[in-house]
Amino acid sequence: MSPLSSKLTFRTAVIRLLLGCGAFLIVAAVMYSLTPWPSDYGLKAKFEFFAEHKDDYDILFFGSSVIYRSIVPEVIEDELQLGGDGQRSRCFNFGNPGMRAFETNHLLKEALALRPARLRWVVVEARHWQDSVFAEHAWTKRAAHWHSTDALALSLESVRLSNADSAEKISMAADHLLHWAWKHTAYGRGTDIVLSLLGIDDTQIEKERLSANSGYRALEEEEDEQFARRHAIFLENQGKFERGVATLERANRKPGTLEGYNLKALESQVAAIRAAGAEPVYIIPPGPPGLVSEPAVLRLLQGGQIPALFVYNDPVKFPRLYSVNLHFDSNHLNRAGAAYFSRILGRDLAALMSKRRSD
Amino acid sequence: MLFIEARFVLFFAVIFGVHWLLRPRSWRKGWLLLSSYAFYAAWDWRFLSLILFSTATDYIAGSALGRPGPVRGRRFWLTGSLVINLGLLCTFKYFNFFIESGAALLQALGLPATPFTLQIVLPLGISFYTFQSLSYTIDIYRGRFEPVRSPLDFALFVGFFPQLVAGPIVRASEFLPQLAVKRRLGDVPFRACLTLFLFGFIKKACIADHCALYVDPVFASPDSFSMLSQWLAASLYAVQVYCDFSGYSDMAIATAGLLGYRLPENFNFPYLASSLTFCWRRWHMTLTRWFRDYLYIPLGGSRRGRARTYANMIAVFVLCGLWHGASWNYVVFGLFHGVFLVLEQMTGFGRSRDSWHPLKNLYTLAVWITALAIFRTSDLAAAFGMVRDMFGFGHGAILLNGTDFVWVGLLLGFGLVQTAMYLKIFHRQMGALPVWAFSLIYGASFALVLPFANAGYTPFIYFQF
Repeated sequence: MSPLSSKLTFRTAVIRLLLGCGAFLIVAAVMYSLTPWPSDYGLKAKFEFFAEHKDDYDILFFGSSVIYRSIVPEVIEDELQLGGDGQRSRCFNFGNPGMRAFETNHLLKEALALRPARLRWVVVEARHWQDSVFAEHAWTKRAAHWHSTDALALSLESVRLSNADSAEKISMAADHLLHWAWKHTAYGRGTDIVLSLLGIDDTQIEKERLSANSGYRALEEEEDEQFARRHAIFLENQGKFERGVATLERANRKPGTLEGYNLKALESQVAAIRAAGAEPVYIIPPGPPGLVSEPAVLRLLQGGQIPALFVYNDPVKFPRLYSVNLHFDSNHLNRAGAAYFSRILGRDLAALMSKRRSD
Repeated sequence: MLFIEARFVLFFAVIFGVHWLLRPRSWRKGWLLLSSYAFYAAWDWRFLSLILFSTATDYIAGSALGRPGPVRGRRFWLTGSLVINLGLLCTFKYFNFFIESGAALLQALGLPATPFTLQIVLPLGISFYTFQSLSYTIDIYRGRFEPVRSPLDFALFVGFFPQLVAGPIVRASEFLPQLAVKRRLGDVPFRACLTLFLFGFIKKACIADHCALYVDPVFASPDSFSMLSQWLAASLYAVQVYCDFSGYSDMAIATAGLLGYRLPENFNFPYLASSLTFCWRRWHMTLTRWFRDYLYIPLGGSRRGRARTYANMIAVFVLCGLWHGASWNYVVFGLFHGVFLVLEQMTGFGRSRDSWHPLKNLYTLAVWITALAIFRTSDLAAAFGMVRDMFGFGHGAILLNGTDFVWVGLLLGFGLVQTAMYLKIFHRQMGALPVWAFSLIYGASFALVLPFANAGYTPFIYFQF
């Protein structure tokens, strides 16, 4: 190895460094612009399908697997037609397993950026904006993908608000920054870029299915054996489920606290929906206890920070939504349960729309 | 902390900046030592005590060996150094293996045996820094090296972070004299170091880690795969282990180079060798020369007749296999190599000139890949099963399936790139560029390479050794 130069000065070193960094940033930006959605979970197909049919839909649903497995667009459309002004609405279910508040927010903003012409309502699962939102998907392409600059800023705000000690906060902030850098350098996405440039689409079958189900898929339709096993385990442990429902009743009565709640993130989401010409609606679906921070969300509604909130995780008010025969497992409704829930939600949405029209 | 992680880049940027800006210059060594210990502590700070203990032992032993005195006294210090260093290595790395093997032997003989094993973690890099540290005391004992006065210099020789956890295994005579010379930023071969780091990154993150995607499932259950798929997996493992380890070495050499220090080469295109003998002269060169100088030659080398030479070769390679890990697979891996090396010596094959020939190269690769199949499998039964299947004595399918051909293509591509690297085509191109163009192309190349890295966390294979 021979020396580069014995006349290396601070100035020349800085110029060379800047040249190298500049070239890095330009090429990274090009690679980033070529990066498709990751295809190892369901959102690529959903997003691309929606992008192709964006002007067909006027109501979008966003949230976790609870939304994905509970909302049947066709049933909602029927209810809205019956209870509304007779016009046929079109709904699309953007729900996806494991999707928490930040990922939902990213997907929602990407969908809104497509400027869907008919969009009127956006229904979002109300979740706490926790700092550890991506723990289960950390260091995956999926977690990197939602780390846009906007998501990074909101995530860092959540970290700031969290109860963690300083060292933990620094570590969490560093994790978010690294995910952001991962996304913007397209780290590990080369194969996806090449396949995308070659026009190879591995989501074709899923897209065909989406044209029929508008984003909803019953758990009974899943072919993987793990789902059948999960159902069998649920049936064997009905007592545990019923005990969980009893705790949910108690949890709902607890006074809410807004400590650590990232209000900025929620406000930015509401503003983004309204800027797209739509109206936001938040729902707490009939999910398991522990996943939602309902008392906090209820306080937000009372304070006027949430425009509309439908709460369904109330076994007293909606006992059928917690009956074993409408559940596939402890967290999700089965096909019949999803149809039943969608009818209730459809009616509530129709009532809300009528009220807005009359106002 | 891995060389391919973003946090290492940040860590190194701080070390690099402070190292070259630090005044007075004499503080730089202290800074590097502190950084090296921080680097190691990022993995597990508790095992720093082992490094410190090993360092203190060999510093004291080296100083004592350097003083004139009776042979018996000198032997005492050398034996002390050997016992303490190898004792630590054996305790942490081989204790459970020997106890369990002994118990299994007793049980096979019908004797009752309840093995007592230790619940301990293998300290990162212990095989590397122990050998490095030992070479210092042995060299002083032999009168080939003068003991170093400064404990700081010696601690930095043992703990220098680029080579601390996975080599290259540096000799005292290669590193310590460098500490006596003033380092100047202007003398740093930036272009060569940066190019080497980039190539090392590509080898590890883009090639080795991707090979694992095919290799791991096949080695997890070889019976479920066809004969040719097993050959393909073993071949890809050969690529993986080479790119993983030589990639690490490249990055270690480059990192040290950027700090003004030169580390020895560890690999020299071993897969282009014309015999197994030459392959070992090009593979993990700092380890093989350690075994040659500190074990093979003291055993008599080739000076005591043919039979003794062959026995020495086999003994050295069995120990070399065992150095890689506490498992019978590694012992058989070493024995397998030892036997083939002896055969090459007997036939004169290993003594001919190392010039590339397709048939010789094919033979070398076939032996090497077969040995790696033994090396990579989970236990000896799996190893023998896989080797049996690879040579067509199994009962499974033979042919590859459709997607396997993509991997065959990648394997051939690797061969072509290796040849181009051997001919120094890329190095020559990079070397001929004007400085501004090099900066631009280097930045752009890194941005192009990152998307082709495997995004999962995969530690370097040699960390486990």
